[in-house]
Amino acid sequence: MGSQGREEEKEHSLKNPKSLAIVFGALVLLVVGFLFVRGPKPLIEIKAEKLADFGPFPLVNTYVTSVTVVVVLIVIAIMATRNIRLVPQGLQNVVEGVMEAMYNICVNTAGEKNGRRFFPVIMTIFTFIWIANWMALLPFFNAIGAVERVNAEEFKNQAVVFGKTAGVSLIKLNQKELSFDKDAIKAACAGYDTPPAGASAAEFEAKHASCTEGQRALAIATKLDKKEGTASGVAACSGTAGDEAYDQCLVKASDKAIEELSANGKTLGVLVPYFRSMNTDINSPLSIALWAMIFVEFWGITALGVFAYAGKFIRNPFKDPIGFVVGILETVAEFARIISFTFRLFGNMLAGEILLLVMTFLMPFLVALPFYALETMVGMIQAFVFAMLTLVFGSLAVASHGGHEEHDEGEDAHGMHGAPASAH
Amino acid sequence: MDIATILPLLAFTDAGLKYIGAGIAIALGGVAPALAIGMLAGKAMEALGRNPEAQPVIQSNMILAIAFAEAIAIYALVVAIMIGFVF
Repeated sequence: MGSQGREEEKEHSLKNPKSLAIVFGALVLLVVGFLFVRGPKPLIEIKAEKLADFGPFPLVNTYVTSVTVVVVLIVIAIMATRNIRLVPQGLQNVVEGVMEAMYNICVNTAGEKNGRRFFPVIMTIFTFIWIANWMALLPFFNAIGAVERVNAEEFKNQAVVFGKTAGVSLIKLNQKELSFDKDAIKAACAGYDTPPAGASAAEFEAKHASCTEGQRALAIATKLDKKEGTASGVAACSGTAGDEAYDQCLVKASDKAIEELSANGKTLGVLVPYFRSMNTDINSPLSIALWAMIFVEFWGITALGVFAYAGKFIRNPFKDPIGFVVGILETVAEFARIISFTFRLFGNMLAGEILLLVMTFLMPFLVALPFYALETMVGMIQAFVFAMLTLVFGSLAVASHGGHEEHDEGEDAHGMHGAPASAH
Repeated sequence: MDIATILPLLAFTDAGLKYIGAGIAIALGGVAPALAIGMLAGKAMEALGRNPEAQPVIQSNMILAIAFAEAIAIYALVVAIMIGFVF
């Protein structure tokens, strides 16, 4: 017995050549990745990037993702309900399992009748956010996109020289960024920040804009000259920052350098990804949150009637002074829920995206894997939390003042009650 | 050596203060949610130890409550990101 134990121990310890080989291989991969195959320094954009214009509406990459999510959901629904069987198999089984789990939660939390009424909205919110969050973990998200040419005015604080002038491009590995010091530029143009008394504000702002543009152009031109060997002639420009002729000369020099790059088949640009996680654009969580709260109010009004529901928030200050104040606080809380829904989902997804990008930048192989696992878990949990909170707020909204309307039979076995009685 | 030359040396420039602000935002904003999540998980463990049969109920309610507490930390993170990258 003892020798058997020692043999098993030897199989899992480092003395076993197989484990040793795996650990050594992982270390080699890490070192090689860190030294030779660096990931790109992430350019963190909070706003979603625009891909094209449809008349007055910009087409942003998060909208492309959300349309993709909708198409995927429709395809899953169609495929799961083809040849429906009484005893489910395959995809129908999985979909039924998920729906049944959510349905049980709805009915246990909100009661039989209200649970059935709330279920479609809750399930939609859950699956939409869940599939959208998980889709963002696919490898081509944030990695494939169009190269957008930068010029001096719209230069974000980092750009890269790409080896092509147009079309689809991948993220560049081992890229050397052309970044410039935003704060040095702010300091150089600091004299035009606030107009002195008596000067016209518009003229001053124009001077400030021109100065900033000129300084950016100066940074681009000098860096391109140094790194790519272009001849922009920026050294020939002379003057002081804010002097219009000088700024124009600098902008011309940087444009000349960029033109020279494109003549060589390169572009100074940023990668605008075609796909980006849907909930990293604040409009998406905001719209889902707005609809969730609209539905909550709708359920409350249809269950109780307009006056009874409004009576929860607006109480007579003479008969019930404390209730009056509580009513005002509850009204504010209703609007605060929209903000809290939005920022919870947006913050989690944005932080996750930035975390993955930064981890890949620090160590390109293997180290990002635990963070991928975390992202997977967080994606599902945030979808679940959004749906559950909508359910809880809905069941609070349909509860009449001062009593339980709905009892469900399973209530004593489960912890969550449908509608806790309000403060008094 | 007047105050206008000393202050930048102490990182009291616009950019220096901005980054210090971003750091303080997330550092202070992460303390209370971390404590809250720890307390929640501790109480959940206690309840689980007393009544292992109620595990699914305790677990799903715990996850819900933890998401509430974590939301505050996420607000602080969003503020820090905005200060660092947008302003």
